[in-house]
Amino acid sequence: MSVPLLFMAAPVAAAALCALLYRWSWLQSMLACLTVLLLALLALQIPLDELAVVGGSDVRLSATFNIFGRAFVFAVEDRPVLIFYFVAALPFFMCGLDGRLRGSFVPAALLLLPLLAATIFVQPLLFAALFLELSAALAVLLLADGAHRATRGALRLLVTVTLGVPFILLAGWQLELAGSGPESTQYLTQAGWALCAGFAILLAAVPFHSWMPAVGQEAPAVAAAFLWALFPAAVLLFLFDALAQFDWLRSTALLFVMLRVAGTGLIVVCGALAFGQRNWGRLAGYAVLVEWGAILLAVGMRTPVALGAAAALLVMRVPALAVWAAGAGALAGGGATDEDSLRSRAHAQPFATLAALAGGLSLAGLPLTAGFAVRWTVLRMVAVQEFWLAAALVFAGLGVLVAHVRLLRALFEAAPQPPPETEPETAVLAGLALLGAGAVLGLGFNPQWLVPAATRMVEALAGKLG
Amino acid sequence: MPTFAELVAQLGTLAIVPALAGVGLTLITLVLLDERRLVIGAFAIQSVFVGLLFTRVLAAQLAGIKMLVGLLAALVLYTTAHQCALLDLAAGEQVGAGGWRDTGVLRRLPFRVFAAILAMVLGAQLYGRMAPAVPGIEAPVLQAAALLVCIGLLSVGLTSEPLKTGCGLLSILQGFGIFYAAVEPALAVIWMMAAVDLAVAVAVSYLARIQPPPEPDGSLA
Repeated sequence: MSVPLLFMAAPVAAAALCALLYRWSWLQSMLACLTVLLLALLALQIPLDELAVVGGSDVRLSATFNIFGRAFVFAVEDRPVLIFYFVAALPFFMCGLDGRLRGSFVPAALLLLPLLAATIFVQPLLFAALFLELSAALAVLLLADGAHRATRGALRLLVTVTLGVPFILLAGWQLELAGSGPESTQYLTQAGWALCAGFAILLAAVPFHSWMPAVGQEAPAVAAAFLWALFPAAVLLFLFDALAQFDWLRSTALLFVMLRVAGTGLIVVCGALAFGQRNWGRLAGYAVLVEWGAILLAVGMRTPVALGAAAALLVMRVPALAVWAAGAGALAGGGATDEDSLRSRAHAQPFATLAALAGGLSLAGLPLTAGFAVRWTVLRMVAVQEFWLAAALVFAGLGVLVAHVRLLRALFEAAPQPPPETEPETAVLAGLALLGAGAVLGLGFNPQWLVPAATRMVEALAGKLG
Repeated sequence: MPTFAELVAQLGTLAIVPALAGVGLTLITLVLLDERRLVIGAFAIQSVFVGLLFTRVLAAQLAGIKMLVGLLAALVLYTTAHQCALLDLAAGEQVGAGGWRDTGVLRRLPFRVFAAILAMVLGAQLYGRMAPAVPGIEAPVLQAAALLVCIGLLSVGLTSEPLKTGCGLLSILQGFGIFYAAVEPALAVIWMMAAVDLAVAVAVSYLARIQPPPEPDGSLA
């Protein structure tokens, strides 16, 4: 049995089953939760290239799967990344346990997981770009449905990824030429330029960032947050894989300069734009982008410690995004999340408000939340190198925070008479909100719950940088 | 009787320069017109020409597959466009809007012609860069690839309508596909690129179908 095939086929089978269960959305979510939990455990424990006893018979668990002359290889150092993909999907599927996640979210999200897994399995590595393109096309199904019919964000995502992918493939071609000719330096330089251009586009550097806030405004909150948590992470982990594999790329100063410039651009532009937002979805999009800027800045520093911090930020924002999505999704109730629609809703939906605020404030980097602890580490590292950049990161966080305070005031305004009609909150939502808010605060006090697992994702690369 | 692959190979040998001219004409249609079914029809014809150009960089069977994938993508887009047209009609939009007699299209024509000329100049520059990199490939094939990428990009930039954007994106992928097939003719890559083309076509069709129909005054709901 091929292990990469198992990890790619199992979510597809679960997605097919979930599609059949479309009438029972809570059951879909339950099945998806069980699937990703099981796959995460398998990714943690499964032996590679060894005999194992399955159902009473000996099965050889091969780490390789070959198709049309290309290989999908599950290496030992891929384990933490694969676990991250499956565990990160879990809280988003949990958001649907109260039966609120209708449409094609659960099957489509399950189908997205094997495509993301394929980006770490495929050899030669740079073909991962094609799986990112397929992921973007599939993500469209998550982002628009009968209740969310605006298509601008989904279309921008598709266009952005389609523009970025050819550069990565061209870099792969240049690398092949470099291996076979005397002019290898010239080819490596061209490959470096192509990779920089491709990754700048795929990593949502300004001006290719606009799909994120658009998706936040238009798509269901859970779908938008799921994509924010996993898609950019897949691109960055793909970059880490490339850096670990290619020695010449690690010594390409241009790539790290590009990452620092992209990070700075995102912090400055998105921090400023976040300040004026009156739609919670767009605001969350900009908050995610500010944090993304901090992650890119950390990677651009090219030190093992900064790399670990970037990985930790990548992981720590998942609970914040999930708890924000649970709350904002319930508050929106299929409608908009702008200031006017949310006015006075805190009285009728206290648990949804709690969840959305806990997640939103963590994304803003408020002290004592999950989003603060690691960002503080990055801030200190940036301040040592360039003080003005650290100040920009603080101001960007403040911009997000001020916009949240504005929404908070609207949410807690005195209820008009008669009060606005809202769906009653279920016990499941209340439980999820309390659990999520507790997790965000708990991680704020004790980031060590997740940081070691996050740093294991970049251990191989950090060892080569150090 | 010749097989489909033999037919494609024979046509590819005979008609490389007409295929380049055909690609140029269909791309201009893509940029100048807004009527979805006309644009998709042009894209379908373009896929045939692109398939012929593929015969110069790939085996005839694979070039035939690329042509069929393009036609399949066009079929997916056309079916959606037809459904959308029925919805538009029900919403009160006039028949033939976005076609060559539409006053809106005529008003925008000078700008679009100018932009298309600029994109062609850019395409010529791109061809100049590509030609030394792949010396074995005939000039019209690379010229067509450069045109597809540059005018496809222009087409994506000119519209926010999903189906037209889809045609632009698929044109970019076709142009890149011709160039990339010349440098990386591996079967796995060709299948993956075909899967990407179809996935993009299905994704934009889904978006076009889910988009709210226009209100009677023509603005989106």
